[in-house]
Formats: sequence, structure tokens, C-alpha cells
Amino acid sequence: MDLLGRDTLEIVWLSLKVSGSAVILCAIISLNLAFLIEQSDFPGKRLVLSLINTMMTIPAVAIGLLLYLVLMRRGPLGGSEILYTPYAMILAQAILATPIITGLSLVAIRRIDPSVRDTAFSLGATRFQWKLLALTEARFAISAAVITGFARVVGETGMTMMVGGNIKGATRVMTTAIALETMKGEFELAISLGIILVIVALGINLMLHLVQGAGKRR
Amino acid sequence: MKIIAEDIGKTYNRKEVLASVSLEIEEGKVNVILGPNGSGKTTLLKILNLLERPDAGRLLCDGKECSLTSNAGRRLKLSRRMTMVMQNPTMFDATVFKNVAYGLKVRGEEKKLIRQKVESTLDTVRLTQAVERNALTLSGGEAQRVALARALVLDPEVILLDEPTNNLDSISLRIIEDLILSLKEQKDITLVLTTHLLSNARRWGERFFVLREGRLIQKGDRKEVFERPTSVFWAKFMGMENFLSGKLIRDEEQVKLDVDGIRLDVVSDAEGEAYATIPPEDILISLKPLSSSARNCFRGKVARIDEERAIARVTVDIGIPLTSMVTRRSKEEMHLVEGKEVYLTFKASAVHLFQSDEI
Repeated sequence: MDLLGRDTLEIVWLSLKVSGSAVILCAIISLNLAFLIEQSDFPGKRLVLSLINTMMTIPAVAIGLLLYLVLMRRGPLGGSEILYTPYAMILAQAILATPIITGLSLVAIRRIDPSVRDTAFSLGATRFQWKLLALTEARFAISAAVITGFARVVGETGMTMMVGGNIKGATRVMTTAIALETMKGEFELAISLGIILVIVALGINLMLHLVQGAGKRR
Repeated sequence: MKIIAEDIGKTYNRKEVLASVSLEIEEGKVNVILGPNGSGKTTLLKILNLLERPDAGRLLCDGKECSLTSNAGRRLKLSRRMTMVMQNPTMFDATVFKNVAYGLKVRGEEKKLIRQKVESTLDTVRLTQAVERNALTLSGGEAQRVALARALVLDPEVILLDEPTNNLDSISLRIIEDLILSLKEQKDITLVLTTHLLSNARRWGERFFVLREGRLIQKGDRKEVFERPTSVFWAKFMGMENFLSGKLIRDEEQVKLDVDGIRLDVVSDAEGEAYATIPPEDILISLKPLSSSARNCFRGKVARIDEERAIARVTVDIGIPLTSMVTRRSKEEMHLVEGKEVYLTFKASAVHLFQSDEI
């Protein structure tokens, strides 16, 4: 088997596409959620915060199982027929990353000096314009949150396999392919994918390092 | 824009920061909110800038209620006619140019116009050379100038300045003071500034509001506020001397202030407990009793002499200590020394009375 052939590249591309989509979807939800939580005062706020923290450590297979039960034919959302498609994988990965990105973004937004907000409003900003400014002010910490979320989901195996099914050419991604090929005794593809996954991980770490370095240098 | 605050109250964490503050910001004038640190000046400024909502009372902008309106569009429209420069202003993590341009950008101004306005405003605060620097690397004084430029570039009707000259280097201090004085000349701009420094207030102000522990204790023009204090606190804050605490009593058809048995002629119709102050420069010292229209003349002994440059402050014990101010030359010609017998003379109108419930 060609180590960097069509099959391999297809798997790598699908991995990046699924995890990338999941993280983009999740970032939109998480950032809005973080702003909503930060800006509002409600009775159960502390509970919500500890719930987010708990969710950050929830085992991925638990999310996989739950989503499987919801999406299976007899499940409440069985009619959507997205089980064993990349959509289910994106959904699962987005659910996994949401608490992480929300929690870390919340910390980032909270770190912005309250006087930045007052200054923006005093200079005539609308609520939306203030949110954009907050994103730029906390850009380093928020990018780090998103990268951490991506790193968490791109390396995830069990959950992705449960809802994706590891179907060749359709839902087979790097981690699930490595697991399968190893079990089959086909080490070559497993090793080459393993190397690529390590490179991706390295790349992510390097980006995180650069982002944090840029944040510190200011 | 005409801003009127009516019975404004604000509480943070059960602590009352402002209590029924009512004031009118005069258009085109320099309105100074004076008071020691922690008297609620910043909170009041934030309420005037619509950054905070009052818990009690209301704010009228051009005659219409504006502090509690839930109409975001109207609130934004009003708030865009004024701007506030915070004490120790916060810079955005961007270049000086972007910081100054921010207010114009959120108003959707054209790029070309923004560049033009930002550059000319940076020139006014003499920071053209810093245009591409990250604003977080500026010194305190430079940041204050950028903050002022950020406000000026918007051509607002009202500028609110919170302690604008706190912790500044001498160059920035001069630039900002000059700017404030030039803004004072512009009759289309209303300035509202807070300060705890009397010198700044006297120099810049045209209307004055004195805050103490969240309450407005005096307001008015220069003469009313600085010459006729209505409370001991404010009189002491201004450095007034010769504080007396006594009782107003009717004595031979006339009201006198009895202070530890010493009766001073005063101008009043009231009776009961009262406080008073006598400006040292209104008390004359003589070696013999003066025959004049002044109603108060007392014999006493010089208790203490403090000399400062050309002035001597002579404290005389007439049963109560009173300080008078004379030139050093007079002091020397009169051979004033501690223990010497002298006469103090002052007019009844020099005794400035406070109603005790105004403390």
C-alpha cells in the first residue's frame, strides 16, 4: 500500500475536515455561550460554571454512547439518518470540544479589564462591536482555547468510531484507521498515519506555543 | 446637550455610593465635581455617561429621561454625543492609531476621514511620532494623552474627564492642562471633570459640585462654592482656618456667637448651635484697641508665630485661639513676639456661619 497514496491523503483530509468543522461550529457556539454567561447574572450561574468544568473532563466514549443512542434508528433523532456519516462525527466532536472552548474562552473574557468594556461603550460601541473588540483583546487566549479544542478532537478515537463507523472512504479518519489497521496487523498504513497524526499534533503544539509566546511578549 | 441629574442614588454590594444627588450640568461650561477620593465622583461620571444605571432617581438628557431607557438605539444615540476619559485610562491592545480611530470606526466613518482626523488629533496631543506604536507600551502620561485624543477625535458635545491630571509626568501634565484650557474657550463643548485637587478646580472650573461620601454638599459658581462654604467639611477641605463651634444666642437684641464664653458679633437671625470660620486675612492685629466700624475687638496674647516667606501667621489667645495673617514687615514693625499683648479686630460679617445641620 502506498504510504502517501490517495487512500492515506483521503483519510488525513477527512480527519482535518471533520475536526476542523467541529471546532468552527463549536467555537461559534462556545464564544457566544461564554459572552452570555459572562454578561448575565442569574441564580444558577455557579452551577453552570461547575457543570462546564465537569463536562471538560467527561470521557469521550460517554458522549459517543449518548449520541449513538440518540441517533440510532430507534432513537429520538433516528429519522435524521446521520449516524455513520461525517455529520455525526462532527456533532460528536463539537459536543466534546464545546465545554473546553467555552470554559477556556470564559476565562479569557473574564481576564479582560472591565474598564476596556466601559471605554468601548463610552467611545460609542454597540454590544456587538464590544464583543468583537473583546475577541481582539483576548485573541491570544481565545486562539489557545480553540487550538486546545482542536487538539482534543482530532486525536479522539473511540467516540468517533462509535458514531462514524469507520467506513472506508466515508467516515474513516486517522485515529480510527490506525486502530483498525493495527488490529488487522497492517502496520505500514497504521505507522504512516501515526506519523502524520504526530506531525499534526506537533503542528498544533507549535501553533499554541507561538500564540502563547506572542501573548506573553506584549 | 443639557444633562440634569435628579435624586440619583447608586448602591454597590449594599454600600451606598451615591445618595440623592441632584445637579444640572451647564452647557458650554467647565463643570467640576470636587471631592476626596471615594466620594462617588467616578460613579457619578459613569452614570452621566450612561455607562451605569442609577438605582434611584433619573437622568434627563435634553429634557428626556435617558438613564433607564431600555431602548438601545436611543441610548446609543445619546451616548455617542458624549464620551468619558477614565482615570488611568485603559488602552486597547492595538496601535495608537487604532485606539484613537476606534470611536470613529464604530460610527462607521470613512477610512480616509478617519485617517485625517486621527492624525490631526494626535498632533494636538503631540503624539504623531507614536502613531504605529502598540498603545500598551505607552507611559502613563502618553496613555492619558491618547485617551484624550480618543475622545477629542469624536467632536463630542460633552466630554467627561475623570481626574485628568492624576499621576502625570510634567510634559503630559502641561499638554493636558493646555488642552483643558483651550476646551474651556470652546463654547460648543461641555466639560465635566472630577478632581480632588482644589488648585485644578479653581483654575478650570466655572460650575462646581462638591461631593462627600456620595452626597452633594454644595454646588454653585466660584463665589458661592469657594467663598461661602456651607459645611465645616468643605471649609476645612479648602484649608479655611479659625474654626469655632458655639451657640448663637440673643444678647441685647442682637445675635451673638458664644464660643467658650467669648461672644462674637455675627450677622445672623438664627439661634442655637452653630459653627463658624473667620478668614485669617480678615482679622486685624493692633497694639491698641481700634476705633472702627468693626463690631469685634478683643484683647489677647500672642501665642504663636509661624513665618512663611513674606507672611506671618500670628495666633492670638483671646480666650480662644484665633489666627491672623500679617506681612512679615508689619510683624517686625509691631515687634510681635510670643506673649505680647495685642488687639484683634474683625467685622461681624467676617464671621462665616454654618448651620449645624449642614455639616
